[in-house]
Amino acid sequence: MSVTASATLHSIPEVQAAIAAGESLFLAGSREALSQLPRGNWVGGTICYFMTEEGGQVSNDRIFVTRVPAFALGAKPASYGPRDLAKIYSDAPENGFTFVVLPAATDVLKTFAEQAPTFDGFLLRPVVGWVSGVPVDRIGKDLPAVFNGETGTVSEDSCAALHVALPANWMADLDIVNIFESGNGDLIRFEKAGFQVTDCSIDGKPANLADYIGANKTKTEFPLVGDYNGTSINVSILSVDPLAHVVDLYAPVFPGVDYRFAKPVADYAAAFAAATAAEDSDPAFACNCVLNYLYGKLEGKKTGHITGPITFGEIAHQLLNQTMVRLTLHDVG
Amino acid sequence: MSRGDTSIERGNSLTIPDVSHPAWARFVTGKVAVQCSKATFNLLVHSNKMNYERDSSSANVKLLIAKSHEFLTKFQSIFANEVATIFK
Repeated sequence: MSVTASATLHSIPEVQAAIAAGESLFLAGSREALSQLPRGNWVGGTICYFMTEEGGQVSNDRIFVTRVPAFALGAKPASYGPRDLAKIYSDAPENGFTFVVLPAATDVLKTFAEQAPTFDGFLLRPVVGWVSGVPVDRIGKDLPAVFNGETGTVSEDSCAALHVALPANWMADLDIVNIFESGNGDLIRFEKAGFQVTDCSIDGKPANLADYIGANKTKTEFPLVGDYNGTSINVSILSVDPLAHVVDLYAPVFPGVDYRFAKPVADYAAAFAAATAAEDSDPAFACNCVLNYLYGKLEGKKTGHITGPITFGEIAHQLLNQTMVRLTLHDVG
Repeated sequence: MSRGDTSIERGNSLTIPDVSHPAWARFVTGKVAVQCSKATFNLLVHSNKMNYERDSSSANVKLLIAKSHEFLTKFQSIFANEVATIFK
């Protein structure tokens, strides 16, 4: 058995009422909407893009609500900065999971992206969530934020987490839906981890990634795809500076991983719908990437039956790009 | 919330071999290939591979075995097929 969620957009008064009723919530909404909520057992982050039952939507006055299930033993909000981020694992319950939301383009996100796999508890204590953002026409003007409803704090440089403890017979299971797969192009490897790259090796020969992208007229809407024992992990291209020979990324690349640019995807909505069509239950939480929303022109289009925020990065144990993330809760008896 | 069936079976409890079982070392050092459709398991295998390439000492192999044993004991109901492959 697994639980499925009827998570969806709600009006601000509806969310205020849920908080007042003592519910534990993981929220996504505009800064204006989240700022109108009372203190309570919730955390959230700024975003105005959503995948709903009606398709992709933009909303500044409604909030996407994920409820902690009633059978949970407890849910505890917390906040972490770059220096104490490793505590997210030691604070997590022995059995359960942690919702997390981290603001885009911050040191705390960089620390999580580069170091989470080295923290004690990585994989053992599931961490799932997303990266908060701003409307795309406000990038560079407004700052993404996260909210800790318990303390009433709004932060632009720390992350907010909600540690959810489950009974022994329930199991949290994270998975991803990636519509991209490695193309048949050149094998790309990196010597150093980071969000910004210059040098790399291409089919074993020293090269510069920006030069390679320029020379091959590579379409950068399609991500680099890393091979993690058969699971494809995307790294999306933020920008290419041909003069400085620098490529900036939305997530770090890592040494020891084989990367190739993805095969092109023509119809993002159809690809997601096909990838999730066989599912017999909805996840307890899901999110998808704003780059898929923008490149795939998903406004008004359905991506299958799964709903959730459209985000500036997805977390399923580690930072992901251009990926749908899902949390499923199983009753293992 | 509603409920629906999944492929996870209730009460599906395995006996996970002790850390002294030789298959653990083969698993964490990449000598036995086990792929899974789920990202979490593949991230574990990848993490072990990267870690072992950085430090192949017996002390580190013991540490990787301990972590993998803890992981597969906890999530045995999800990764029963992978456990079976490791110890076949």
